[in-house]
Amino acid sequence: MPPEKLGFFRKLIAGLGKRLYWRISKKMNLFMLSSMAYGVTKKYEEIFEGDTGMAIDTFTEQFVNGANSIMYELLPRMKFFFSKSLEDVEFLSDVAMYVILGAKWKKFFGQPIFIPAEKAEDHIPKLIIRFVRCVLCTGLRPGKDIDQAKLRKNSYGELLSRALVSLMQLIQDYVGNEYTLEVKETKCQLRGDSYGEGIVYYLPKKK
Amino acid sequence: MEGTTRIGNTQDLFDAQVNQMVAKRALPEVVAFLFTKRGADQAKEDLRDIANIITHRLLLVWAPKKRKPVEIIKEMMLVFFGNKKIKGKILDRINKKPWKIAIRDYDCPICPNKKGEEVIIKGLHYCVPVSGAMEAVLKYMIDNNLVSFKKVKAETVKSTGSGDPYCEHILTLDYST
Repeated sequence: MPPEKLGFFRKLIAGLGKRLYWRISKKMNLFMLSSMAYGVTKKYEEIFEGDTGMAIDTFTEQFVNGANSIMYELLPRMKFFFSKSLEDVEFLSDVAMYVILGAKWKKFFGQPIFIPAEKAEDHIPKLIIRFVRCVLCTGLRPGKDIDQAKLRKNSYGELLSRALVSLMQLIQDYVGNEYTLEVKETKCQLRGDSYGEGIVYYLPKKK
Repeated sequence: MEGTTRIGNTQDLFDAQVNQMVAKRALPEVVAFLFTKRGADQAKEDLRDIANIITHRLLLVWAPKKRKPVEIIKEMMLVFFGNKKIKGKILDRINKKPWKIAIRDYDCPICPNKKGEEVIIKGLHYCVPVSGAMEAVLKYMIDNNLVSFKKVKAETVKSTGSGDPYCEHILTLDYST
């Protein structure tokens, strides 16, 4: 049974655990990972005869499935740190980012900001995630490497927010909260914004 | 900004690391898609093409310092994947120069590394992109006159993903002009 809210002890253990996990996990070059996403997208673009939108949507779907399998692998170890309170999502996002990118995660992502329903104009709880240096857009030449005009459902960097939201949805389902999470990308470096931004909406689950 | 200017500073990404599980978990979906849509032979070529695109991007910010083929590959595997468990074995020489080399990888960054998680796909080694990356790096060295061989071919012949005890890539070097 998950707790209503994370206490000091669980947060302390999570803080130590994320460092230990990062230290013992196998790591690779981040530009390598970024380039993998680019390489797969370009190959898919060729397979779909120049349809960049179809290429990105296909890979986004595959990446999200991969991210979900990470959560299934980590769930037995991570569930101790889940709670029903949305107030803990900022803390949990910090732990998740650290597990994936180590202490340098703040170089690439801003601290996620949670806005509770009572403080939101539309009364929908939300989490704002900023990509200070987008790990996917960095190094790209807009219009040349990826043509924004050819996009369909997803933008190029959206697979990161979609993967993150998919993980958060699994957590919400696990703790028994009745939310459906949706993400909207509001800013993108490839479109000319100075940073990327995704807003995660915690919508009441339709019965 | 359109066209020539690159977004941000690629060196920032190059200097950072990411948990290997992200790539390991995303790749099976890609391999399955290519295999289903294109067949084993074409999927193999596609994966090597993807590796070629990736490597050319990495060569924008990095170039090997070593000059001997095995040393170049060891350096590449360390920089790209943090992989230190690479061994090179010269299988044959011409005029005292190695022309056939086996590169054995005991810590493949791509193949599943747990017993029982092997993905046996007939006619396709899971880590074929690794030999594609090796070939691209060695071709870069040839194009920049940094090595004495003039042609290179790299091929994956064994993989832990297919149930072998280690992954093996064969380099074939040609010194003739």
